[in-house]
Amino acid sequence: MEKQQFDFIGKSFDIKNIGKATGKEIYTCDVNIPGQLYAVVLRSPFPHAEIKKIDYSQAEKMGAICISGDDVPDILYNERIVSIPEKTYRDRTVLPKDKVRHVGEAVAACAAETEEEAFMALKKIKVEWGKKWRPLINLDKAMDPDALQIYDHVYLGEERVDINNNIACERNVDVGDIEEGFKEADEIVERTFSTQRVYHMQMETKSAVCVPEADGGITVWTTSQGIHNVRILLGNIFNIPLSKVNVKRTTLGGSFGSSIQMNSITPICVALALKAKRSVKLVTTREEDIYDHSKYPLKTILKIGAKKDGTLTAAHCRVWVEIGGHNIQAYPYLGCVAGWFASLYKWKNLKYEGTAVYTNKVPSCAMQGYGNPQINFAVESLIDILAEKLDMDPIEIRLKNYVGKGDEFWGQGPTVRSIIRSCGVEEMLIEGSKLAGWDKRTLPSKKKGDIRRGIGVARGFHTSGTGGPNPGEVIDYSGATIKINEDGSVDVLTALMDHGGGTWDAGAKVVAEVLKVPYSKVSIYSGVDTRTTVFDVNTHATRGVYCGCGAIKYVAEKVKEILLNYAATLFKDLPENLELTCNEELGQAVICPRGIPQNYMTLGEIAEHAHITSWGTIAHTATLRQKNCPPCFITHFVEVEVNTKTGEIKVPRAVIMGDSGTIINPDLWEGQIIGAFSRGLGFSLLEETKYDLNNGKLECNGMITDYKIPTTIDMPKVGSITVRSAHTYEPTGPFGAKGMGEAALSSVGSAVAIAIYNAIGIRFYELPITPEKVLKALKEKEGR
Amino acid sequence: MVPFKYISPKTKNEVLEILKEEKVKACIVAGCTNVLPNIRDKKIVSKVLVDISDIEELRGISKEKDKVCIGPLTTIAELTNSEAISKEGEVLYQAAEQFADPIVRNNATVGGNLVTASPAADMAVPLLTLDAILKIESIERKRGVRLKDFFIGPEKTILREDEMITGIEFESSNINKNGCFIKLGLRKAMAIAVASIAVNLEVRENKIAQVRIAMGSVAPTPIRLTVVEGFLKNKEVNSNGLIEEAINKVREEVDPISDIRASAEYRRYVSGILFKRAFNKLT
Ligand SMILES: Cc1cc2nc3c(=O)[nH]c(=O)nc-3n(C[C@H](O)[C@H](O)[C@H](O)COP(=O)(O)OP(=O)(O)OC[C@H]3O[C@@H](n4cnc5c(N)ncnc54)[C@H](O)[C@@H]3O)c2cc1C
Repeated sequence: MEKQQFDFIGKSFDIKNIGKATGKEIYTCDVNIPGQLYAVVLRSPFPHAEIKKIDYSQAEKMGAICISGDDVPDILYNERIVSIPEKTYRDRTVLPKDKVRHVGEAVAACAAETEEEAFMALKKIKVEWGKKWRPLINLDKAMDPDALQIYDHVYLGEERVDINNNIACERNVDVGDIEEGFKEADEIVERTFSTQRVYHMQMETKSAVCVPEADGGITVWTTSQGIHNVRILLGNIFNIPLSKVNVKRTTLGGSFGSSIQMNSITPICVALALKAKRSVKLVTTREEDIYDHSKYPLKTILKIGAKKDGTLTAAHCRVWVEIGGHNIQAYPYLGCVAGWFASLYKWKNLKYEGTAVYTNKVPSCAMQGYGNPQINFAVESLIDILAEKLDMDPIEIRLKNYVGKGDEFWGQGPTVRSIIRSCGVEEMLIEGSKLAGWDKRTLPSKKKGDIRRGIGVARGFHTSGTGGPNPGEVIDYSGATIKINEDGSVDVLTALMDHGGGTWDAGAKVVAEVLKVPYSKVSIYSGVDTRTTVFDVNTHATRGVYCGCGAIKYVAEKVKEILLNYAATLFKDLPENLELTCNEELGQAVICPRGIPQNYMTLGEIAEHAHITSWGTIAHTATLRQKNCPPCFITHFVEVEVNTKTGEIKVPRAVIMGDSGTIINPDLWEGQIIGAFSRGLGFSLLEETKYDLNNGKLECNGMITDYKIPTTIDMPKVGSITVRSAHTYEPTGPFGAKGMGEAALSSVGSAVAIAIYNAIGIRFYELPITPEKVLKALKEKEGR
Repeated sequence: MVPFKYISPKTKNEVLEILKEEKVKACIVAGCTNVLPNIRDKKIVSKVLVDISDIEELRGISKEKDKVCIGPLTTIAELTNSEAISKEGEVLYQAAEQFADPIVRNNATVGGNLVTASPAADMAVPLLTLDAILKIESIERKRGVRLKDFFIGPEKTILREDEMITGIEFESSNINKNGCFIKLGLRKAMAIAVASIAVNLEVRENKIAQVRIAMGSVAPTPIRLTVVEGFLKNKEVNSNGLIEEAINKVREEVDPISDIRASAEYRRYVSGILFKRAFNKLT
């Protein structure tokens, strides 16, 4: 399709979110209700133990309201309801009734007049522990047939599922015949890879405020990526009609996936408020937060085969993920990992076997890429190895085999498949290699000196949303109400969440573009709630722009239709003869009969007319499901500098090519890519939540003084990161747009590891690649 | 959360009175950058917090005839703005510049850093090679202690419960003017050292007239490497194989442990590398 000329899309304006810049923005922890109680949570010091009895009578004597497992509904639920119910595993209650399964799991909570009193009361809660077991920390130990069972059984939808060998769920996919495929291959390579647990380290820790209403309903403010799912879950758990559950949206202080599910403290806060019959506020500390969620680690054994000319013939991928003490979304995760794997290259024949295993660790959940960076590390590393074996340029082998335009893309596991309609892979690899000086790359054997430079290339992608032509196992739709105000300004009411990546800005631009209203006159107010908005599934899966803004565009177009119909009555003309444009001088949208600009009326005049004649509000509400979840692509060229004396790794330069179709927010788009690069460097080189094998506690003890992520000065200098976009247009996206957020992280780790290989000739199969590991490997290589 | 008592005395003597009264229950608070995290981590519980941050007489840097005096309340940021420090004790200046980030540097004090007695303490390492003397006072008596005799174990010092540090001094001398500090962390800012080194060196007629070497994070306390110092003394600076032999001796003299940041083995190895880097910078 032709590139269009836009008035607002792709332009940068003054900061929309002045509230953040001035500190006036309201986050959940800023919400205060007169007369509220303050809640605190008692957490398990044990990784796996029986709860015999919890006695909180002493705490109650101090005036606190307390709850334990006995006080919460018997409802078994899964905190993430993005998948359809039949594919959702349920293993938890609001507070555990019999056992704790990881250190830091909530066991009781209390609320009191002040935070201090609440803490004092908490100390008086007595937990009588029964049996205590050694924690199952490692994957292999947990799967040992003799290992203790963390669960006896759980539920999949309504069906009871027995748990054996701590295997939470499995997922296998076959395409073609790999045996035949490997027979055709001239070269076969196989390696084992592993990626670690890392902590989301989002700025805002989880909070909740709950007001029990006079009619038996509740009003809740909570840290969340999707308020409607929180509403549905709370209604189900506490048996309150959804019309009486209202969840308010507040701005998110970052999330990285940690609030796709309803946070564990949200129903605790509600249970306390219902018991106290008073408003309750619960704000968690950083230490509690580290013990609440983690990225999924992944172990992969990957085998791939290719012909002499580099054509791939088969791939066999086996993965294991240890998920911690609760199954939040392991089944869809295994499906998505299969999809990311299957959609990177044309394997022709593939076999995928995935296993998720319970351990006594913090529950894993989605984090920026949902398995994509993990499996990308394995695939891209192995493709690089294969290229070397075949004596092919790493770029050439990728160009030969990538999944691109016209091919099938699994945007959310094997059940959500779409056809790729826009693809910048080739452009990004070729243009990127020019910008990065790829032709000057030398072999590891040619490097000399204590400090060695290397360059690596890796490519990745992510889906934009989770809706394919067939809905599959995932719920995906969004909606909005858009109304033109009496002065011609526009209100957009949508439950769509913005994590800080600019989703709302994009939404405002889309509306401005459709209705030709100046961007500054479109308001997407953050403080909406579930009662006044239609459903939006969640801002996850890089769906904010493609799906969320796709739905907003659809509604805006309906509003435009209503507007033109109404205007036609004023102009005594047909709507199709009218033209809607933005008049910059007037700072207004204007309508005129096509070709007669002097006969214009401003949108303000038209809206006012509709108002004073009591015609009504020019407005529309609807939901929309986007149906092609297109991949947004990324390519990383990363340069590293390895100090062979200390193992330190610096990243002096990077060229990052992104393909998001039309880019709606150019500055924020670049910000997403650079931000993800920083997080990716942490994932590649630095971060890991390590556990004490004996007591199941985190070695950092929950303190971020001992959990490091890269700082700004660990990044390449500003001028040394080059970010460019491909020239593509997604025909199914709003104004040609796809997503970016998660794609931006997917190939950072791979590119860094490949660059390190290029510098020192050593492959790393395990992240993070710390100085210590580098030095050890160097010593082994040199036989030192 | 646990209850604390908080007092904010206005003079040094008031502080000393309180320390005498409260003994172990008292906990001096200066910049609070160690005390607060320790409260969060429940390492400090139910104490009387004695906030000394208002006591002006404990703050500031002054250059006297043959020495530099630093008040214990002097912040790391103040060190990085001091000409006296950059001229007379450059090694300390370099360490201050690499300390945490600007926000922490504005709060963290030199006294607090020393008394915390972390094996990684970034102020201790350069002050060891400046051969600093601590002025210690209680209501009953005053004493001066060499910094190298101050630390006795991880987070343990010779300071008694009724004592506080009231001053830190080092000589204005040739060796103190020629120093180098290097810190190896897991990231470039806001990182506790995996290993750190300070070296002060005075070369006369191509010979090592005086040398002081200190390291952090490679032993139960910040340490002076006296064996290596003894080995280097009076040797020709560029004599053949000198550095290689010294590197081996460094690796023998350090006594690191494995922890969340690095293994003992790695620390021992990079100690030698850090020494080489620092020594080469000074010669
Ligand atoms: C984010 C962060 C980054 C950090 N980065 C670094 C770093 O890069 N390098 C590093 O070395 N440290 C670092 N630290 C640790 C800490 O900042 C330093 O040790 C700092 O110098 C402590 O000074 P303070 O004034 O804050 O001490 P406080 O926390 O106020 O006190 C620390 C201890 O010293 C005692 N004390 C303080 N003054 C006196 C006195 N005059 N007499 C007797 N006892 C006294 C207190 O009782 C307490 O036991 C960091 C800390 C944080 C939180």
